[in-house]
This record gives sequence, structure tokens and C-alpha cells, in this order.
Amino acid sequence: MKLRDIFTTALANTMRTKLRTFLTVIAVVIGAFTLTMTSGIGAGINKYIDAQVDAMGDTNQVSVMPAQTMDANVGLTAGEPQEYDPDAQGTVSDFGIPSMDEEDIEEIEQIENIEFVDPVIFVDIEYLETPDGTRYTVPSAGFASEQSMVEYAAGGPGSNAEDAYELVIPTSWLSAFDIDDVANADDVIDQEVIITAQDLEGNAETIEATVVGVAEETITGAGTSPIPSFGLTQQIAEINNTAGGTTIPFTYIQAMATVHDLATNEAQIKADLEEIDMVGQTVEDQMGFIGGIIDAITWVFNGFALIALLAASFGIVNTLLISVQERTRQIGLYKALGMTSGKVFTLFSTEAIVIGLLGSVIGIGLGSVVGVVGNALLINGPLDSVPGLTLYAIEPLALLVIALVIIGIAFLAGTLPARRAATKDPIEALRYD
Amino acid sequence: MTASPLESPPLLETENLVRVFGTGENRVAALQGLTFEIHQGESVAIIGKSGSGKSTLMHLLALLDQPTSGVVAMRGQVVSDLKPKQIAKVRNTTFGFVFQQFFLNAHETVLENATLPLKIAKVPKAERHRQGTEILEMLEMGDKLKAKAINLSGGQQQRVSIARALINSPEILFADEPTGNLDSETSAVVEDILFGLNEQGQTLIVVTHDEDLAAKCARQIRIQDGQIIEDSVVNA
Ligand SMILES: Nc1ncnc2c1ncn2[C@@H]1O[C@H](COP(=O)(O)OP(=O)(O)OP(=O)(O)O)[C@@H](O)[C@H]1O
Ligand SMILES: [Mg+2]
Repeated sequence: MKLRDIFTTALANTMRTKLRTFLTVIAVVIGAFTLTMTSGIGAGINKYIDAQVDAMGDTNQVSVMPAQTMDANVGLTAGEPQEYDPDAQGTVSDFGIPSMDEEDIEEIEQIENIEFVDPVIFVDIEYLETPDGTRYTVPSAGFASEQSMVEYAAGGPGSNAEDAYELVIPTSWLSAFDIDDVANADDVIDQEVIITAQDLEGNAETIEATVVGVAEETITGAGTSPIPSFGLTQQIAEINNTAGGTTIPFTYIQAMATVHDLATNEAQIKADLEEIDMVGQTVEDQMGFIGGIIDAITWVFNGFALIALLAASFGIVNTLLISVQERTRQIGLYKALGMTSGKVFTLFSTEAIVIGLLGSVIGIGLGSVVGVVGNALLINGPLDSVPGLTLYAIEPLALLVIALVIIGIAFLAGTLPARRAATKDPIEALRYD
Repeated sequence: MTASPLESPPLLETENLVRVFGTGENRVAALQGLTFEIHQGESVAIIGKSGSGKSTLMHLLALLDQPTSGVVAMRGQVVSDLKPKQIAKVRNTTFGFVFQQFFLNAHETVLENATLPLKIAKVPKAERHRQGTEILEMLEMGDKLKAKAINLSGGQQQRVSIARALINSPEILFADEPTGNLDSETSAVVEDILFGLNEQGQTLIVVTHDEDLAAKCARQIRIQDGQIIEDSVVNA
């Protein structure tokens, strides 16, 4: 028999018992559908993360933290009391999280290829007054370093100069400046705002700042609240930490270091940081971590899908065993008329493959449609506030792999019944009732 | 017309052929030591009562079954020495079978059933249809080409099974009760075809208990209880 004849015969045979084939195929469809969904969701979210990372692709920033921060038992240091050591002070502070002081920052600044170090400072803004005199609360101001991580609808990041008091606002704040359309975001640039902060004694002090940019929101949360520039942040922090003319020395849990040509110097920077007991992480490192979690979740679901397929493969074995039983006579006839055992085996394996093919085509088709439609409904509906979000992506290669895996499993399941068919004795088979 | 046995080995020969089915209480010795030769171009009728072992013998000669003991040889070659693939090839291209129970594929069409050996032999579809149509028309089944086998009468099924046996122009035709279900008129058509082919050199081996059909064969082998009781050449 020619391969084409084998295929059409197998197809005709599978179609003869439609209900049985349908039920067997359903099990395969469930597996194929799940695999398509999980891999598509994984691909979609990873694509989104990649896009976000790419969006800040020009960032040359490394986030620097004391190495102990990475230890699991930070803040829970049980055991013996430690004797006071003035030099060790400053290594442990804020909520038991190890922190850095000015000295550490200077040390980091001295590392080769580090151009600028921007400690992450939590500042407390009392209110922000727009030119029309309205005062707005600023529950959590952004960190200066975020200015280089966001995408701009208008303007750009502020300068790193100590005496430049500049501000980047998120698109959601445009309404505070009477701008209803993001398209007119440019109008807000260069407008003057007044920022008021309290010192430790509760006295309000004001600083004038200039709006220099309008930021789009991103997955990291950067760009969701106003971001003061480096100089402005320092100035507010100084007010926040001053009482009666005395300013408490700052400590930082993290600093953002701007690196000259990060791509080439990444290894050197990380090594040098390690030497001074610091850890450096690039944006990719941090995002890669999220990607890793998503991959892990994807694989867990893929595992479930594979279990479903394992169950489906027993369905295939069962269906084909019944089929072989029912068609014993036909097998006997084929062999009596000169079909070789090998071809009989191929014929029945092909029936298994047909079931696998049907199941994967339907399941992958269904999964893709549900994924694409569901994605469209979600990102245009409940999730439309997240810009650029994708929850599902079609990856042709992944779909092909899924189809091949399923057809492979179907083929393996088919080998048992196919062997049984192939080894039948023609006369015995012909006499079978 | 028959080649001399001295010149070339016989087309088919058996030696002390024994076929036993089952064991213990169920043991049936269907064939009990048969030795004979069949030469190229012969027409042989195997006659006997029901259960005498005719079909069993035909299956052994047609290489569909293996003897419990004894030898079947084809053109001097002991068949049990052949590889399964070679035997399959012989069955597909050299033999034609008309089974007593027809064994048609109920859900396939008349044309598909009749051309199955060609399909197995990898003949292209168009050619299969051409040959199938031709032979089915000869058997007066031309108007049923697309009918499903399950919807045919017994006689029609028998003719499809004959068409299938003849489709590969076999050197040897094995026919188990080929006219058992046919009226005298259709029987005559079938007999004309079979004996016409025999005259052109095809070897014909017919299993029957129809004495009239048997008498039309050049040679009759009569079987009783698995043994040959008569081997006669009538029309020689
Ligand atoms: N596969 C088998 N298993 C057990 N017994 C069998 C088998 N095939 C045939 N027999 C037995 O062998 C004997 C001969 O059977 P066979 O079919 O050759 O008879 P037959 O001469 O063709 O009869 P009929 O004219 O009714 O077709 C019978 O007794 C039958 O029951
Ligand atoms: Mg019989």
C-alpha cells in the first residue's frame, strides 16, 4: 500500500466510528488546548516583560544593595547579643534591612566605570501645588532613578545636578494641570509647581520645581506617581530629616548606579561591587527573575496538560484495541491478500496518528482562538489601564512542537494495538466472528 | 498444454500434508497425510463432503496457513523456507482467492473491494479503477460500482469476491465454492470466465461439492475425512 492510501484508509476507518473517535479525540483536545493556553500565556507575558525591558533598553543603571540583604535571615538575627561597635553602625538599620550610608555611596562612586550614584531615598512630600493654586497630596513620590526607566509621553528625564529642582509627572496627573488629552502633554512642560515638605518638627518648607517630563506607566510601577529629580529629592530629604538646624545623616537601603557602557562592563561592575560587599543587579536581572517565575508557572501547567495527555493516550490505546478486535477479519483479509505485517502495523499506527492530529489541530486551534480573543477582551476591558500588556501570544514554533509532541504520544499509544494487529494470523483472523 | 512433470518442478506439490486443529478433546485432524502434485495450467476440483477438509487444504496450498507436519512446495521451493515478506508478495501477485464467505469489507464500495489487491500492490488509483471497472463489468456488476458491499445480495457479493480474485491476473486462482450462491445463468457467466482463463494458461483450483462444476475440471481430487480417496483425470 502506498503511504497516501494508508493515510486515506486510516482516515476512513477512524471516521467510520465517529462517536468513538470523537470521544477519544476530546481527551487529546483537552491536553492540546491546555498546552496551547499555558505556553501562549507564558509567551505573551514574557513578551510583555521583554518589551518593557526593551523600552528601558538604553538604561545603564545597576541597582546596588548591601550583600546581606540577599541573606534569608535578615532582620531575624536570633541568638546572642552583639557588643556595640561604632564602626559597624549603619550596616543595619531601616526595619532590620541592611542599609548603606554616605561612605558606602562614595565607595561605590569610586568603582571604575560608575558615572553616577543615586541613592534611593524615601521622601515625604506634604503637598504639590499646581500653578492654578490647587494643592494635591503626593502619597508616595517616585525615586529619582526611575526617571531614566520610564517612557516619556512628553519631555524627558530631569538632570542629575544637585541644584536642579525638576519633576516628572505621570500621565494620570495631567488632569491636575487641566490637560485632558495625553496628546497635549507637551503643554505641561516647564510649568512651575510648589512642593511643600515638613521637617522633623512639623514645620512646612517649600521648594519651587519645574515639570520636565510626562511619564507613561510601566509594569514595574515606575511612572505611577510624580518623580522628583536627584537634586529635588536631596533637597526634600534634607527638609524631612532636619530638626532645629541639625540634619540626621541619611541611610539608604539601595542605590542606583549609572554605569558607563553597562553591556561591556557589567561583569567588572558586579565583581567590584562584590568586593565591597555589595550586590549589583541590572534591570534584566530583576526582570529575568519575573520571567523565571512565569516560566516555572507555565511548566507546572504544562505538567498538568501532559498528565491529561497521558490519560488521553490510554483512551487511544483502548479505542484502537477495540478497533483491532472489531476489524480482525479485515486485518485477516489484508494479510491474506498480501499485505505485510509491517504495513498492517503502519496502517493502525496511522489511525493513532490521525487521532493525535485531529486532537492537536482542534485543541491548538481552540486554544489559540480562546487565547487571542480572551487577551483582546481582557486588555481592552478590565486590564486596559496597563499599557502595552499582552497576556497571550501565538508562537508558531511552540504550537508546532505541541502538535508534534501530541502526535508522538498518539503514535506511541498506537504501537500496542498496531502490534496486535500486525501479528494476527490471516486464517485465524478470517475465521474470527 | 500441461508441462511434463519431468521437465520442470510442479507448480504446487505436497508431501504427507497433515493439519491438526486444537488439542485434547477438541483435537481435529482435518488433513491426514496428503501427497500430490499440481502442474501449471491444470484445472483441479477438490471435492468432498462438508467438513472433509477441502477449505483447510486450499488454505495450505494458498500459503495462508502452515501445516502441522508435511511440506508444501511451490515450483520446487519449500514454502516454509520463504520469508513472510516473500509469501505476502506471492499471495498478492501470483495468487487469487475466492473465499467461501467472500470476506468483503462491508462499508467499502464494490469497486474498492474488488481492487484491494491492487491497492496493496501500490497500483495508482486511476489504474485501479480502470481495471476494477473492466472486470466488474465482465461479471455484470458494472452498475453497482459505487454500491457499498453491505447492500449487495449474496450472489452479487460472490461476484465482487471473484472480481477481487481475478484483478491481479493471478497465475493460480483458488476458488472456494465460487458458484455456491449464484443462479444457473450467473453461474454460467462465472464458469465461462474461470475456464476461459484456464485455457489461457491460468491454473485453477476449485473447491466445491457441486459435481457438475467438478466435472468441468480436468482433474478431480476427492477428499474424505482428511484423506484423498480418489484423484482422477476425467477430461484428459
Ligand atoms: N481453525 C479451526 N479450528 C478448529 N477446527 C477447524 C478449524 N478449521 C477447520 N476445522 C475443522 O477441520 C475440519 C475441516 O474443515 P474445512 O473447513 O476444511 O471443511 P470443508 O471441507 O471446507 O467443509 P465445507 O464444505 O462445509 O466448507 C472440520 O471438522 C472443521 O471443524
Ligand atoms: Mg469449506
